[in-house]
Amino acid sequence: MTDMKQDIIEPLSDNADAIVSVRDLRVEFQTPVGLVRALNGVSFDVPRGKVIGIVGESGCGKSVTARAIMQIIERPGKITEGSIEFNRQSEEEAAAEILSDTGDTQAATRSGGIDIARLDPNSPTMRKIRGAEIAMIFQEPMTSLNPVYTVGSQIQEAILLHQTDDKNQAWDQSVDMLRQVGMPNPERIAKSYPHELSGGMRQRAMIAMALSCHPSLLIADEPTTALDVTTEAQILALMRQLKSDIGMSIMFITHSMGVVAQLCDEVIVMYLGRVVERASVDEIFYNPKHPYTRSLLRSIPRIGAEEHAPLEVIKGSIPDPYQKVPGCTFHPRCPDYMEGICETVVPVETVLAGPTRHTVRCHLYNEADAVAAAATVGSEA
Amino acid sequence: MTDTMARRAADGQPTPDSGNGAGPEGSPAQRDSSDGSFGRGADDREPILEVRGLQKHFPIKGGILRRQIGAVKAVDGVDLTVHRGETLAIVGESGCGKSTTGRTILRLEEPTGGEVVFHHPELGAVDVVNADRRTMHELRPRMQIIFQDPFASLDSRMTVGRVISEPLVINKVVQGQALRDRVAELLTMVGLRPEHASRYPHAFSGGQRQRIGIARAIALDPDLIICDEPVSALDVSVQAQVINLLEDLQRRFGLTYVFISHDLSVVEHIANRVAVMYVGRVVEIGSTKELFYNPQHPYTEALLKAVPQPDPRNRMEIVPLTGDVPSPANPPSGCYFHTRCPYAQAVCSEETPPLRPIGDSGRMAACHFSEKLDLKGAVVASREAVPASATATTEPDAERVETS
Repeated sequence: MTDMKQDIIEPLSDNADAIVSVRDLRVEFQTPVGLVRALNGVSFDVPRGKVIGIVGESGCGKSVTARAIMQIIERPGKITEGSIEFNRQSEEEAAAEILSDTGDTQAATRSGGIDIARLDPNSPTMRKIRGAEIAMIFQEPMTSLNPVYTVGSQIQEAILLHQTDDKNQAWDQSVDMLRQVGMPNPERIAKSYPHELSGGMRQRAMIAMALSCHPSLLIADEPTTALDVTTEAQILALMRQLKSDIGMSIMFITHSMGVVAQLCDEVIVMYLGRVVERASVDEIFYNPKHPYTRSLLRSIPRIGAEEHAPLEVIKGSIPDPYQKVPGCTFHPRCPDYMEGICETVVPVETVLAGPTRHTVRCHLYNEADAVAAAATVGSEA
Repeated sequence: MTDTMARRAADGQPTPDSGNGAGPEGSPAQRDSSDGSFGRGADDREPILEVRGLQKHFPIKGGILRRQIGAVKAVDGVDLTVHRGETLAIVGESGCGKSTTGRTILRLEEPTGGEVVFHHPELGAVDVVNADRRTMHELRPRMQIIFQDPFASLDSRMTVGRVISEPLVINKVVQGQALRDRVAELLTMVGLRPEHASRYPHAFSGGQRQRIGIARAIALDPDLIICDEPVSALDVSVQAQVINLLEDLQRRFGLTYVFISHDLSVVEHIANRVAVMYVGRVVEIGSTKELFYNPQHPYTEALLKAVPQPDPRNRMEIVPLTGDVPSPANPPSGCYFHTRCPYAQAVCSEETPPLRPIGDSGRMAACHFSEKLDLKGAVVASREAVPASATATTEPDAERVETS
């Protein structure tokens, strides 16, 4: 398929209005115990003004992907290959504006964006982008807020860093942010310390902080995992409101299929450092293609399912990170394992025919396409 | 054969070595007809545990003299009856006292008040709260617990064999070769391999560690197991394996579970009856089906409404509960839920509604207006959203461990 070829060599062919286009991203951790390939060629787009969900189990690389975009991968992790193109706005001068200030011109991309992967994590450009352009909220709000500063002053700090020098104005703005995320009595909350707030309120304070500089992309790394269902519902309602009211682009990382179904427009399913399937949320739930996606959806208990029928399971468990699985990384657990191909050849991403864009990395779907794609791309090893 | 196995064989129950399939098909154990059916709504059955007015207050100390200035009423008058062979789930938000209830029943926390009666197969009804050391020693093998965090609940300096054999050694059940055989048997039962006994917990994944925790809990052939969020820390794909294992063990050995969880989808799958807790009290209890599809307490309705359904074509309108869970140190007056209840009226802030029977099916709810309110039950995800299992094989769910 020609589409296939373009997808890898010429980014943005499928989605001209992507705020972030990740192409063939590889992240490695050289540890004393061995090399961990956390990301093995990850490609996807974050569409502007939409919520994209990244799902997968622990160790699949979803958090590393988010951290790579923010350039906050912990040592010894390194981006070894690939590009992360960030397009601030639809207009082209947006990137130039940031880059001309700092002189990091090598990071400019042809389409007028910034290639984050080529920036130094400590460079002024990256520091301008981080927080102001792309903001992130983390899973555990208690550990990501500083316990010795009030919530208000922590939000104020972000505003002072990126937006204004006027402390009073920054304070007013931070109170206003707290009000926007639905905090009752924001004046009082701004003067509270994190330990005085409940889990849901802390997470909302984190969201207020992330939004305080009006970023164009919000990355949410499992923001509801540590919360109760009722609080989770509050955060989901807030996220939906952000999307509809200010057209925020959100990258939502989660392992909960329920949250994905309720919130996301598009879904990326990851397994062991690779994107195995990406499609619209409806396609993922009603027409899943990859055996991993299918098994995952079948193994979750659902309210209203057949009484006391045993849950279907995915056999085995996720291999440990030091182990290198040849071929398709899911083959040892796959119900559709085909001997002779799955354990030897890494499947390429195949675009499926259909009204919406749906790609899958599995040998079940790429007889003819695989040959064509393999010829152009070369074998991935 | 160990004593326990011999006893089981005498009881006509399948012995563990008659099949090691932890999977749904490989299991030799059908639902024991001799032991009554495992149907829902098992209210007429023999109780194994009765909890009456159970309280656990943690003191708050303050001032220069560190005198007690208040109390966190973590568990404040909980009434529960658990029937033999059933699974009773306790659900609620964090801080509602569900874990403390479980721990207090086992006297891992000393209760402040109330009574816990355990029906011991030989000793008969025993008052757990006032039991002396010797009686507790008799009781403990019958009542076990599985903890939430499989990483924290296993001693990293003990081999798996020692972890599992410790209860057997302490209670002087078996020793020597018989002990090693029993450990091997237990490991096989939970889907691990006998040679794993010589390894340390760090060599195992989360799901496998939880299996080790389960093996330790069933080592003494208990009657009752308190499962304190046993699958919350596990990955989705492994969670299903552990749930199936728990259900399989229950069928094989007639176990009774008190299943503490905040995940309503898991609870609906595993439980026969459900108790909903809010700020240290039970607000509703009933059979799973009734409680999920015809809730009688506004809090149950709110919990059910908040569960995100894995169905993008059924996007719910999120009307989150306002406010936060009240502090158990300083609960509001009247019904504790009135501060967040959309149906609250004047009486709710004045009078505490008792947990009272609703209908005659063993349903109980603590709300002034249960009969008057038309509360909505769980939203059911469309069947179409579940991919067909055409390509799936039903394989035993035992995790494969590399021998390297």
